[in-house]
Amino acid sequence: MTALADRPLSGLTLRPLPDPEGSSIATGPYPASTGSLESKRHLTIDVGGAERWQRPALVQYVEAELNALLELSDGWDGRRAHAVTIPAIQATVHVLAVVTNETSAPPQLFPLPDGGIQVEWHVGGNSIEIEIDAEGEPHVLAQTSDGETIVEGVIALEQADARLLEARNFLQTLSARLAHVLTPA
Amino acid sequence: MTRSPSFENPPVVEIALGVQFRPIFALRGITLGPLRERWRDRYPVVEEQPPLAPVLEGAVAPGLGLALGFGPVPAARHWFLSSGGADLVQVQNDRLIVNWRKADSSVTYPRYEHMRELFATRIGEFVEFLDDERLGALEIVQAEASYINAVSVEAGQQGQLGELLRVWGGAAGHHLGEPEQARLALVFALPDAGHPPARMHIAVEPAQRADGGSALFMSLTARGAPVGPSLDEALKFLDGVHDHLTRSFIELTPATMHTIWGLRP
Repeated sequence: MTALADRPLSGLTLRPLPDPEGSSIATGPYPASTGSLESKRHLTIDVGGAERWQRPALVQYVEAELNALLELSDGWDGRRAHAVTIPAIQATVHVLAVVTNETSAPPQLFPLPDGGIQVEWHVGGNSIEIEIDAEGEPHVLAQTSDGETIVEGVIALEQADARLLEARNFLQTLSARLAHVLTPA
Repeated sequence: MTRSPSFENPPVVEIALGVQFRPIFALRGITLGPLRERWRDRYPVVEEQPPLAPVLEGAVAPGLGLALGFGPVPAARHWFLSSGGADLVQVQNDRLIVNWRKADSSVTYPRYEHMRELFATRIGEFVEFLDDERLGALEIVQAEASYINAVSVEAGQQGQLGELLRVWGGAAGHHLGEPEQARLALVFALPDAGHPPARMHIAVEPAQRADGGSALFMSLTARGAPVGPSLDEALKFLDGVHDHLTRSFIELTPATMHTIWGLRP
């Protein structure tokens, strides 16, 4: 992926040919946040200086899903649930930036009552569930359809966490299987 | 303003002078009506475009690939176009950019001095519009100047950057021969421009001309924070970086092309 710092993004209207490999959310390292975090609740994810409509479909999907979660206010469950927190959003993008690529199956994203976010993939009885709490701490559980646990535990975001990399490998396997299922013979 | 070296027939196909300013959240499509009327004669065509993300020069962050922005739903960017499409003003709630584009080969490159004057005039009118409509004050946080130069190359020759770069060593001796495409990015610090950090980004990349022909684009963008938030400071910043852009182009491109483009001291 072309880094933001490499691209002028200056309002020029002429564009060179895109990178042959395109941008990939999976190859991006940790995200940075800009702007006021608490008072305004709309998320944009910029990828490698690409124009908004040029971003990978998965990025646009994740952005839309997270913005839908950001619209939830306190009590969204009709009881005492908290609005999704900015640290949870940041951690979610961070986790997805590591575990997904352009061929990944899109995750399901759910709000948690504490202000956190649940990220899930389910393919043929296999599952990956990443629970990100309100403080932005993720916990991963990946299991096969046989009940075997592939990886489980807290993920450290400050480093290339082995559990996160295990989850990424498992997701690639599941995504390839899903693509195979969806591809007509 | 001292005159920089220039070319009789430069390969410039686009110029942009612009500023980023603190967001004016009330500035949305529906509030731009009076500005549209003010500019209607010169820019009769208006188009809506996706907004540009903020780009602020900051500390170097190697490999940064994602940026999260939190703010209100992004407003659209509006293009105010001249009838031929060569002149363009782009307005969104945190940017104003004045572009010139080479619509066809007969169009003469308008020179920096002309673009600077046009830019100052449009910004002045924009500030008047903001005052008249009580939308807020313009507080400039970044200024930038960009040039795109294009050189036509044969199909399949987009890996031979030596057409445009004297510093290009190619891939001599590579077992697969010349690359099909090549890209180069250079970033220079501009220590004498505005509030640091200011930088110049230079990229040479394969491109396609409007007629479908193969080309190499060399884009040069200088960007940074002016010393103050006023238009005068933004203009000073642009004057300063313009000299760096011109000199860089001359220093990086081969003398054979200078002859073709008509370099004059």
